[in-house]
Amino acid sequence: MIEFSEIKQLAPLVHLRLTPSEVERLSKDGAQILDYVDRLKELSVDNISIEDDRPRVKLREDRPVRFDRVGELIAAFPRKEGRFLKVPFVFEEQNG
Amino acid sequence: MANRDLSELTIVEAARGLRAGDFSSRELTQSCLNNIRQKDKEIGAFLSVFQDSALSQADLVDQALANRKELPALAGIPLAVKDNILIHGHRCSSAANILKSYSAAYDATVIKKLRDQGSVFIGKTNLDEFAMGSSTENSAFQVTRNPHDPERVPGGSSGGSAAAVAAGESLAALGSDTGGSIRQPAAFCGLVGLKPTYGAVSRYGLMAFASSLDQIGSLTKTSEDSCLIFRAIRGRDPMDTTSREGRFSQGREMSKLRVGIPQQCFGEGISSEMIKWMKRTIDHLKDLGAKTVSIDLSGLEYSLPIYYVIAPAEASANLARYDGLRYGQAELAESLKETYAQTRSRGFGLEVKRRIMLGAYILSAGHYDAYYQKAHKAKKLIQLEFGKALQKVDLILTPTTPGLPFKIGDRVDNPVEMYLSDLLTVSANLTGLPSVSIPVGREGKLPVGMQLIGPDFSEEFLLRVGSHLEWLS
Repeated sequence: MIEFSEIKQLAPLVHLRLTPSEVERLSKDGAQILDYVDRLKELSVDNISIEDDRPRVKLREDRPVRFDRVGELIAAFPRKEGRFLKVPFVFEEQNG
Repeated sequence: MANRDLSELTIVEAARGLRAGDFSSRELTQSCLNNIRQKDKEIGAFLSVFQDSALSQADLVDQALANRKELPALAGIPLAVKDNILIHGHRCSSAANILKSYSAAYDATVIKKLRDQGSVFIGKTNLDEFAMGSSTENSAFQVTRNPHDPERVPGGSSGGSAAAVAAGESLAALGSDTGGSIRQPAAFCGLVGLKPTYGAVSRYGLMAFASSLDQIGSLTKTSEDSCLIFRAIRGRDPMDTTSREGRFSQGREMSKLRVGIPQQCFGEGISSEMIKWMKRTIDHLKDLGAKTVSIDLSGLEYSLPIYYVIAPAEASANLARYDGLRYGQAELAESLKETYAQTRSRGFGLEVKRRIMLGAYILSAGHYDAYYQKAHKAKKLIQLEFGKALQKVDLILTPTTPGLPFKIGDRVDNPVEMYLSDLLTVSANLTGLPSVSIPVGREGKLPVGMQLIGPDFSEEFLLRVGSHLEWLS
C-alpha cells in the first residue's frame, strides 16, 4: 500500500510537485496497481538467476563524430546567452 | 482506377499504379490530405499535417517517375508518423505539454531510411502522452476517435496512427509498441499491426518510454504492405546499440505449420466474441492444412504485472531528462529544483505522473528487491516458457485484445481496467519476440484482431501466415 507520506517523500525525488488532490488520487491508484502487481508473489523464482544476463549490445567505436546541427540545439534552449545555455544557479547557498 | 478513391489503395496497389502512370504521387497524397480535411475534425488522428512538404516530396517522386527512374517500393507513398518519432524540422511533442514547443533537430533512423525510399510524410499522429496508455485518451491535446465507431477508442498508444490509416487519411503509418501500442490499436481499427523483434528496428530518434521494451513498427491495411515497410526500416544501426542484424526466417509452408494455442486464451478475462473468433481462425488454419497444438503458457497471467513493474521503473528514468533546461516548455524559477518541479508538474499529465511515481516507488530502497528484482526474474520465466513452447510449435496464436474496442471515457478513471487491454500483448515485449495483429473479421461494425507470435526474426513468416487470415468473413 502506498501511504500518503510515502508519495510526499517520493515526489520531490522525481522532481514533481503534486497538488493535494493528485496526492490523494495517485495514492489510491498506486495502491490499486500494486495490489494487482502483488500477484507476482505467487511465482517462485528461487531457481532463477539474472546475474549473468547481459543485454545483447554491440557498442560502436568510441570515436567523436561531428553533429552539424548544433545551431538547432542551441535554438531550442529555453534560456540562452550567445551560444551558452543559461540555467538557474546550480549550487544552493549554504547557511552559516 | 479513375473512379476509386486513391486513399483506399494499399501500398502495393499504389506502387503499381504510380509506376503504370495511372495517377501521380501528388494525386495520391492530395487524396489523403482531402480526407484529413474532411474527416479529421471528428476523428482527431493528426497533431500536425505537412500539407506543403508532403506535396513537395510527392512532386520529387513524380519527377523521378517521369524520368523513368527505378524507384524503391515505398517511393511516393503517403505515410503518417506517430508523434514520438523525430522528423527533422518538425514539432515532436509525444502528445505532452512539456514538449509542445519542441522541434526535432534530426531524423530518427527509420525516418532517414524511409526518406531514402522517397516516402511522403503526411503528418504526425496523436498518441497517449509519452506512449503511456491504451486508448489515446491520455494525449495532452486531443482525443482520437475510432473511425469504425467514433464513440469508441481507436486503442493506444498509437491510436492516431491507427485511426489515420483506418480513415483513409494515410496509406500506412509508423507507430511504437512497448506493451501492445501498435497491435492493440491495429486490432481496434481493423489493421495489420507489426511489433518487430526487439532490436530488429533502430530506436534512435524514438522518444524513449521503456528502453528494454520499445520497438518501432507499422500499421497497414495488409500483411503485404507491412512486409514492405519492415524491409525498409529494419537493420542494425550504430546509433542504437541494442539493434542487430537478424537471420530472417521464412518458416514452414502452411500445410506443415504447427500453431500453438494457449489454453489460457479460453479462460477468464477473454470475451466470448474473442473466443468465437479465435475458434474461427483455428478452423481456417486447419482448412489450410495447419496442425494446432494446445500449449500451456501459465506465465501469461503474470505478464501484465511484470510489465507494470518494469515499464514504469524504466519510464521514471527515461523521463528524468525532461527538466525544462535544454528544450521544451520551461517553467523557469529562482532555483534549479523549483524549475525542475514546476516544469515537470505543469508539463506532464496524470497518467505520466502516475507511472513516474510508480517507477520511483518500485526502484526505491525497501521495495527494489520485492518488485523490480522479482519482476526481472519472473520475466526470465516468461522468456523460458515461450522459448520452450516455440520449440514445439512454429508460432503462437492468441486474440490480440481481451475484448472489443471500448467506449471513450469508460476506463479513464480505472487504471487497472485500462491496463488489462494489454493482457495478451505485453508478453511479446517482455520476451522480445516479434508479433503481429491481423484483422480477421468484425463483430457488428467493430473489427476483431488475432495475434501471431513467432521466434526471433520471423516477421516475414508471421506476415505470410497472417495474409491467409485477413478478413475471414
